[in-house]
Amino acid sequence: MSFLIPDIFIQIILYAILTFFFCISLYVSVRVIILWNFSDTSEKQYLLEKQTYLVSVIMKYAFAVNIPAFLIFIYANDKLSSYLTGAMCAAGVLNATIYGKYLIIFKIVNLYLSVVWLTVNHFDSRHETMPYTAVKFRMIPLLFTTFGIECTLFILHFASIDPAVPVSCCNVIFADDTSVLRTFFSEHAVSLFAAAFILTSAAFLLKRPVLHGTANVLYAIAGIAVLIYGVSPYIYELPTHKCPFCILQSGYGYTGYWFYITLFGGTASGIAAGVQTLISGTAPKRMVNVSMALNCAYLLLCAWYPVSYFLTNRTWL
Amino acid sequence: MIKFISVTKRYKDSVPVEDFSMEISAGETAILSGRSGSGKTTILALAAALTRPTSGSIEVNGKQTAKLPEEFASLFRRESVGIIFQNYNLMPNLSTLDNVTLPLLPTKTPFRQQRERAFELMEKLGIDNKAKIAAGRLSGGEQQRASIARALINNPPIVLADEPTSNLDAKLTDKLLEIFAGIKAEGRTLLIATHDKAITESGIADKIIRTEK
Ligand SMILES: Nc1ncnc2c1ncn2[C@@H]1O[C@H](COP(=O)(O)OP(=O)(O)O)[C@@H](O)[C@H]1O
Ligand SMILES: [Mg+2]
Repeated sequence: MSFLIPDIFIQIILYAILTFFFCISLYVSVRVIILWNFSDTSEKQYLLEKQTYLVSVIMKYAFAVNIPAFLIFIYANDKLSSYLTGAMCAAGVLNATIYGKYLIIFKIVNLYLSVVWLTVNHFDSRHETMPYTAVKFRMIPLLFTTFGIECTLFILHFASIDPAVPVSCCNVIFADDTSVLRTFFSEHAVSLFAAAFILTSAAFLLKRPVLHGTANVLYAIAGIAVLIYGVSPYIYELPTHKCPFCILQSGYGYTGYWFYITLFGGTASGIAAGVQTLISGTAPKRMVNVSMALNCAYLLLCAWYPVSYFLTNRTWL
Repeated sequence: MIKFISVTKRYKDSVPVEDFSMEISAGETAILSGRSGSGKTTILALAAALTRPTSGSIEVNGKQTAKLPEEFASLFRRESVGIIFQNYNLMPNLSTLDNVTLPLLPTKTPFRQQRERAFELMEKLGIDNKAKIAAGRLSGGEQQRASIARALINNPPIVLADEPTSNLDAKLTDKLLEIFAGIKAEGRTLLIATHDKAITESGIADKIIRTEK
């Protein structure tokens, strides 16, 4: 590890704790998958109920800590950019190795999975008969796998950054891109985002929580795309500067955190509410409402910078 | 209704309850009888969801209490059962009155109503003149009566009494039997662990359950 700064060290400790808890919960989850039978009153089942109760509490805190830890991760990457030649922000750091890109993707996926799990756990703990315990523990092996991959990528990434080698800055990474996927996103970001918003709102108005959850996946992806290609140039007031990370820096008033917290809050609660509906058959109405409110807030945030730019300069970028 | 099906409670070095079954219908009064150490207190604790069985099914008022997560178990205890503990379990530093009104704390009962109800019970049990005294300073018999008043103050549908007359004289025992008769008349369920002949031979019980193995 060439960059064992405190922020990275915190992450490593968190991973160690998480791994330890995950091993315990994986053991219990295997037992639940094989043995769980709530109507059974045998010693085995009672023991299992005690264990699931304990593990649920542990995992609740482990996942809950993992959510703000994401911000530490982004912040640490941003800080590291000043050590790497060519990097202006976290984008350069994440692009410094072949693992960085996948690391951030897995981190985001796990963030969402954590919220889904926490939601199922929340509704499970509000019922006397623990109706979702079996589902909750069936999710653990999946989470164990995705977190395991994230952890591995994290170690590979930070172990293989070579401070002597210059890296690309975000301008190069996001602006001069010719890959098919990125070209698609950069050209259609705004219309994609509009479509996702309309779909999300329609599902909300028609009271279709599962569709609403699915639409939120699209909204999350389109929301990031529109932020990079449509909104961020207006924040930087520079048509060629397209980057989702520089907006997190003090020079731009840490604006990015507002964008990400709103987008994540809205889409994660929408997705989790959809999954919960799928499992239980009834929609957690308040979560769906919170999701829609935050998604609207994100739309307004996104519109704010281009519109105010237009009002002062009478032109679009 | 209290229904045990093949309940076992095992500790590291003892098995106070083994393969025990019983059924007490709603509104019935039952006596749990057996020598000391035969598991009476443990059975009451199981019925009150104060502890969990090692195996077996426990159903109280239609609820599988052995499977209740702790938050629900404490809610169940608060709302559904009144327990007269063998060792009283009073808060020694609180006054008798505060001890007696303790179960009403989480409810939204107005203070005046709480006091009225407490004094009514304490008067019946002859401890109303001890209301302001710290429970730790009460005599054994007085503590037992304070514990009885506390168990009954929120009119629980199920009353569990663990040797409730162990420290009461004949006159007070009669008073308690009167109170129990009142509970029975109201159609509430009553389970009394005792070997006091005054209770077993009073005719209050609909059934006697033996805990001998
Ligand atoms: N928490 C405990 N840990 C270990 N042993 C216990 C515990 N509670 C009760 N026992 C044992 O269980 C047996 C029965 O106790 P108890 O239910 O109090 O009987 P009873 O009320 O009929 O006298 C006793 O031998 C006691 O030592
Ligand atoms: Mg006893």
